[in-house]
Amino acid sequence: MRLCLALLVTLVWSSSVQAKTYVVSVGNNLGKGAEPLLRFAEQDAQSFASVLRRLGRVSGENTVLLLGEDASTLRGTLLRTNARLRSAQANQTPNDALIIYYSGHADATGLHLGESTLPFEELKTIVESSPARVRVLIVDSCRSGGIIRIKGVRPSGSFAIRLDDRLDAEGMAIITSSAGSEDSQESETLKASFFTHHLVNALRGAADRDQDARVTLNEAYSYAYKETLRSTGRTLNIQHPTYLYDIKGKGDFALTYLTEGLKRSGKLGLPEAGAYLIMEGSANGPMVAEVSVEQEGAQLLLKPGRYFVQRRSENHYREYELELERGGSVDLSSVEYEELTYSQLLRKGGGTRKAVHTLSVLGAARGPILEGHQVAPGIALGYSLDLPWLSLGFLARWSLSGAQAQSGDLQTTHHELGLRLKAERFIDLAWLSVSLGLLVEGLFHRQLFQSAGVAPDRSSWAFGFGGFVAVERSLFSSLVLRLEGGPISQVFSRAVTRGGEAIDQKLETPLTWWAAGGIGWRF
Amino acid sequence: MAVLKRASWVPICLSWVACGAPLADDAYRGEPLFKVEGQLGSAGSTEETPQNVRASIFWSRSFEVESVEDLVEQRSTSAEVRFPSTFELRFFRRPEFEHALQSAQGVSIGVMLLYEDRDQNLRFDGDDRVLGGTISKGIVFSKGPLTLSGVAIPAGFSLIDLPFLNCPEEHFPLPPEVLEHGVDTCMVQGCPEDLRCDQRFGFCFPRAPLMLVIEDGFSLERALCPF
Repeated sequence: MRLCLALLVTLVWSSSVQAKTYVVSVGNNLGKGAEPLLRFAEQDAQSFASVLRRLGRVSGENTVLLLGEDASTLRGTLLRTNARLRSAQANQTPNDALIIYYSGHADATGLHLGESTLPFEELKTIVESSPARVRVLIVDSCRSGGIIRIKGVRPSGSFAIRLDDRLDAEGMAIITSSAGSEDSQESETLKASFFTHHLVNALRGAADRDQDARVTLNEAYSYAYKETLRSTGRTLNIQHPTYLYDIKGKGDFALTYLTEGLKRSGKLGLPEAGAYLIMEGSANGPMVAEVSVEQEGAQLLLKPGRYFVQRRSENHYREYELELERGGSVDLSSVEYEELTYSQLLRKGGGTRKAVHTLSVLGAARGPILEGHQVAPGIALGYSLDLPWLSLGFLARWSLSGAQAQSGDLQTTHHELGLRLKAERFIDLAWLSVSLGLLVEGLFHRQLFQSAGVAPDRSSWAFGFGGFVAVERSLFSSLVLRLEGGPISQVFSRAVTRGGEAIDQKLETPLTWWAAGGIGWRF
Repeated sequence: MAVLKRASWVPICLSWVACGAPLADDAYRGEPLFKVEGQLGSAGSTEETPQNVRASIFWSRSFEVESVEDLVEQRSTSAEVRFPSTFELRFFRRPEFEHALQSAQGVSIGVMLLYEDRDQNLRFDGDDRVLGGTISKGIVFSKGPLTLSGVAIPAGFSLIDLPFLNCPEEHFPLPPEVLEHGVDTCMVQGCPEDLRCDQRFGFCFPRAPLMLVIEDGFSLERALCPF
């Protein structure tokens, strides 16, 4: 669990002048005393600095990365950065920006950098005294209630930010990843804290809702807020990022510039809305991004390399493999994909469903079970419940067969109604799913006779059992093609005849076959 | 032993799930309307083992017939031969209109014949060959009770002794055991239980059992006359 996460943004911005941006990114996995060791705090700081370096008009000389350093080092670095800013202002660049990012432990009073503490009051004083017109302080820690007590910072509601908000030319805003009493969390899957992961993805382009090739602070926060809430909603401790600001003037602060960033990255076009998981290398590679796209035409700038992309929807997953080249662009709509449907997802352990339901209509045929009888064609209506390990279902079926008596003077029409219970285990292959299953069924037989003599109708109950192999192939939408077949047997009472007359009965268990094919609708 | 006892429940359980009327296969012809049992006999030696032997009842449209071709076959009968020398005839259908006597609608008289269905078309025709049949016994079907040659016939199927009317005069042997019961007596006095009265001669004759005979050269005359 990640102890603290907060984003403090102080803005002094003039929209008319593009200025240099200074970044101080701080990460410390160590906290005070018994605070647990964090796994990804320093990695988060690197990721944040890296994405701003690549996409945010931030030069290497203006980026400071502090990993595992103490409070005095951070204090000194901030003071030196302020000094550089003053020097720059003296050179007629008064609109420089300062972004401070912190990921690590904290409490209500200050940042914990190992055993040392940097009080929020002192941090605020340093930030406020910075000559930068835009001052951004990002603190990635939990219990950020201490931050909102900073003098001069006015808290807003969790959803106070609208995408069309314009920040004034000068002011301060605070974005916290969690409420005052909440813990922040790291994700083993994401290899990062939830909030920073989503913030970095936002800066990569996922948050560019107006598709102007710039990700502004508002866009980044809005995206990170929503995704953090969604991601942590699956865990025991939900996080509510918070945005606090004190603003004067007007302007909107762009953190990253996607067009310029393309020179050092590859562009991945995400043409459809949905949730995307992006892994580096292959499906088993490290997760690069988990992003949500709300509208068509989104793009994400990533390091050049090979990626495995999984687009998740409620109904299915689509999996892509692609190569991103520096300065190149790949749109997912032009990449071949493999589609995993409801049941396959379930069996792979993906998706949010615990079970998948299927209704099916099948044309069927059963082999003869009585001497001289024909193959019995019929129809079947089925329902199945796909669970992660097993699929259970039942099938109601009717079949009709006929036979001519050896003597030629009696015609038999044989109706069969069956209610079948089945269990099957699927194996998902590239283009289809194959299952092996077992079935039992209760059967009702009715024989009607056409004869000039006397041949009363016969009704009989029977029991069936067998095994089967089934093949399923997704068609489109939620439809699936299903073929199945296998050996079955029935236990029933057969008339023993002598000279054409039924004189006795005998229990029969003939071995025959069953085959069916049809369409299923998954929901 | 305990295992065997437990295993004995298996068929009981299976029979419980497999209940109701037993299912019929293609050997089933329905419920027989009439069944008679008789003795199987053979005479002479058949030239070759016949194939596709069928048993059918051949109905007569009149009281006078000369050959099998004058009879109308109805494929509604089964003949079951049981080891060593008995058989059972089952009739699964009533005779139709075309099987009834022209002179007495609702009444049909026929004889059982066995034949080799050489062309396997399930009917007697073409090169099919008569192999045998019942001797001096006829099957009567009547929609209502009637009296035939002085014999009361109930409604439905009945097995009757054919009168010796069909026997040529010169072939009639008048056996001693018949003659000792007197002449022209049975028309008036009737016959004992185990005998029958023949209207042609007025004699009481032994009531012969139903015999199904397979022999070389079997003909309709043989079926109609025992002598």
